[in-house]
Amino acid sequence: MSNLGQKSPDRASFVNLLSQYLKEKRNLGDFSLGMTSKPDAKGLETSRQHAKNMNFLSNMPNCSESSRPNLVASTSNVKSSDFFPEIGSFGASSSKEDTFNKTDFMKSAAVEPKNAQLTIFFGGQVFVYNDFPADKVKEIMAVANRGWSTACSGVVADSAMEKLNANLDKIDYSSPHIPDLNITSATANSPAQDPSVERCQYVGSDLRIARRNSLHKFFEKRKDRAAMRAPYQLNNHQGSPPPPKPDENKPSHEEGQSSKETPRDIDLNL
Amino acid sequence: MGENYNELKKSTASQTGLTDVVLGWVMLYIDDPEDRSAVSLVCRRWYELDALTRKHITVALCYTTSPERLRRRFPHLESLKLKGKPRAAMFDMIPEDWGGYVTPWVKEIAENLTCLKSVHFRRMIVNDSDLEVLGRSRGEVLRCLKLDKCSGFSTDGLLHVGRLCRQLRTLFLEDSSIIEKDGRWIHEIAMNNSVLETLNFYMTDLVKVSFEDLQLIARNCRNLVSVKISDCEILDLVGFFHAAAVLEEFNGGSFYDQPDGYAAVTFPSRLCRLGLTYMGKNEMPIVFPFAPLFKELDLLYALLDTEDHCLLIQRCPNLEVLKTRNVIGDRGLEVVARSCKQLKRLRIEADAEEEGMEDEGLVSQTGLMALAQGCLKLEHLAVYVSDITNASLEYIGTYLKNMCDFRLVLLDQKERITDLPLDKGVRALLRGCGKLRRFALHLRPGGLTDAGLGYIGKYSWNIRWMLLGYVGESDAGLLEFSKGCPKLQKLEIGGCFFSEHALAAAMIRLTSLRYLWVLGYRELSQSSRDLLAMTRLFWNIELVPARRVVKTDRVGEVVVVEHPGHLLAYYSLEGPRIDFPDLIFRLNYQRISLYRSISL
Repeated sequence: MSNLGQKSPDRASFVNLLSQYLKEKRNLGDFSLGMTSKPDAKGLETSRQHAKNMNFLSNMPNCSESSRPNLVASTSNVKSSDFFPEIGSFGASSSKEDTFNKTDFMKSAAVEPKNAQLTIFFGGQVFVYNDFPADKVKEIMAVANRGWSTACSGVVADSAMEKLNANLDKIDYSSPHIPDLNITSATANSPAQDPSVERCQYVGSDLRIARRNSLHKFFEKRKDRAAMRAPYQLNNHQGSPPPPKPDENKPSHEEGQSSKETPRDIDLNL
Repeated sequence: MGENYNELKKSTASQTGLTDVVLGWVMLYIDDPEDRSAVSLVCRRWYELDALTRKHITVALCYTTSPERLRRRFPHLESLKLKGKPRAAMFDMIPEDWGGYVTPWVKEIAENLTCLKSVHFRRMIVNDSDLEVLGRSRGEVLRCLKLDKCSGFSTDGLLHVGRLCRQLRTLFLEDSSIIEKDGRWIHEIAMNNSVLETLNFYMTDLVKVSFEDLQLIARNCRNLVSVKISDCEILDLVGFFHAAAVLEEFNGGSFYDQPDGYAAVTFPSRLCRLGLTYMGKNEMPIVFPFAPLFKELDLLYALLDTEDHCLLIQRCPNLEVLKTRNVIGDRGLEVVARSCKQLKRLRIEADAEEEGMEDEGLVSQTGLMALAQGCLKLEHLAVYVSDITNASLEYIGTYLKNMCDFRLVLLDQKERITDLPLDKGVRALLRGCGKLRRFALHLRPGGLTDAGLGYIGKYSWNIRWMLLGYVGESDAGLLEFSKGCPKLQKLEIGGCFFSEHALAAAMIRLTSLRYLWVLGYRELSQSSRDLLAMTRLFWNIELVPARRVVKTDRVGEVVVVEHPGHLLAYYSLEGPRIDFPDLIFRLNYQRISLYRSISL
């Protein structure tokens, strides 16, 4: 199959990653996880070792270490150190890209040496870093853009920041709770205390309930029938269906709405 | 030689008290697949006898085994059901080319499975050529063909079926995506088949079917008992209804504004299972004369409001199966509780959000409590609620002791839900409904705490399939859950964002688990490193990483849709599959051991 050929560059880096991981796992014991009450402890160990062993972005060797003292996040440090090495390694299809990005970072590092607060919304968690250096921010943004653009087509790099900004607008700052499914005791607020407000904080969670295809088809047809019967009640066009309400097109946490386009022609079925 | 044979027969008989012949006859009465599975594990001889006498096999995921393996074990199979794509495909969450091709199976059926009379493909990809091969090889003996939510074929493929499979009793195409070229296929069936009993192309978009052909089928097939069709004006079916003398079940059709109304329509006298598409308030009275006979009523695609539901359902004291949308409301459910004491299955789907959401058209704890007290024979309940309380779930646990399939989805229209979290209610429900085998719970953050998730694990002693959405708070909940669920074979998780290593740990602990589907998990690293802890022999892991897709919606606006990561893991005797689309990435035990040797 042709996809095998396309996968080999990713496989090469993945093989490296795997062999490293396996070495460590052998040292730590067998594959099965001995799950203690603090599952993150082990994860922390292995990922920190990883950060040291795998310097895929070797020009930013201290980014993990230096950013740690700046963290005021309610989550543990391991999250940020996990981001930097791994995102670069898996997304890159060749080492040339790494080199290119390093050069980019170096350039941008010289321009703006300001420190400010950085907030990242990722996977339903919020990370806040005080006094974050601007050059590192550019690195993060470049890494994030690169990771995205290899995964899908047609998305411009800037849209990444737009989405981040859009999320910032959407999130209700007055609600204190930040759901963190990984660490139970990290925040004082648990979902049980304030049950009704958390849903908006899951990224892309506006329409979480998936709709069955058969029902979706029926709703579309029903709308068309209604339009057919009462064409004069619509605002703009005679006989055409009304514009869909916003709810329909919001992304769901599932795969999104059906990609079937409703036919503009109304099938009278006579 | 003859001596040895007698010796063998004697020794077997003395050991078990039964000769093989007798044992074979006894086994024919054992149908339950779990019993059969137990029988086949007793000893080699019983395994062989089971293999020779097993009539039906359901392969829950076609990639768990291969056609050759199936044929080697069950060479005399008479009935086969194969399932392909994950259930999420029904909600448009799985890419069309995910997999589930029937071609290799059809090849095996055509060449070797000579006793096969009944074929059921569910959520699989079928080509016209597959249908031709099936028709040519098995057409003379095939009694039942079900292409259930399948795709990839056209009416040309159905033409082969119509021409070649003349002994079909059942042709089932419900909810399949069929490319329509013409209506010749139904004409072929009408001309060639006189034994058809069940014809179903409901929820397909086939519009070129001629009602005259339907009428011909009704005339030729004297045993035609169940017909479900796509949209077709009801007035055109008057002739069909006249001809179908023994018809008991009818779904489909369509109603349009007709100047003289529908008084001319008379239904066959035995009709007791009905679902008329787009039936509205004005057309409803035509079914009133039959209402007392109704055993099944499908109002999912009708255009009735709450009051209409009440008027209709109160006339149906013999109703056993009801499907509708939540426009039935709590008031409608109270009518159901009062009137339908025989009710066994109830499905209440959610209406589209843009519908006027008056409080009448919503289902809440009030309706559920009434239902629990009124319909004590209820076995299957699936409901989308707008509001819920622990007490209503406790009622279900107290009264509905026959419940074996319970599914609840909490809609997200209401900001504040009366009574969350649902820990107590869920516990009471699971403890009370001891026969529960299938369970689905889709809530919202805060809907169920970690303790509640632990209860699900602890009290689900009989549950085989579970769907959990937005439950629990953290990995600790998942780990507590995984300590229980002794019989859980298939687990689907959505929107919970447990971490990879928690998922891996949970999977290892769930002793009966053979199929895991996860939508949205916390990727700590993009290489999904932590999931490697899940790898083991015979366990296939397929990943679709989180991605963003740019789509154009109905009005031409560009929408960026976030697709969270998917994980699908299942046991397979065949190793990793090769027919997957590009975006799926597989993790596999064999590969791990290979890399191990490299790094050493």
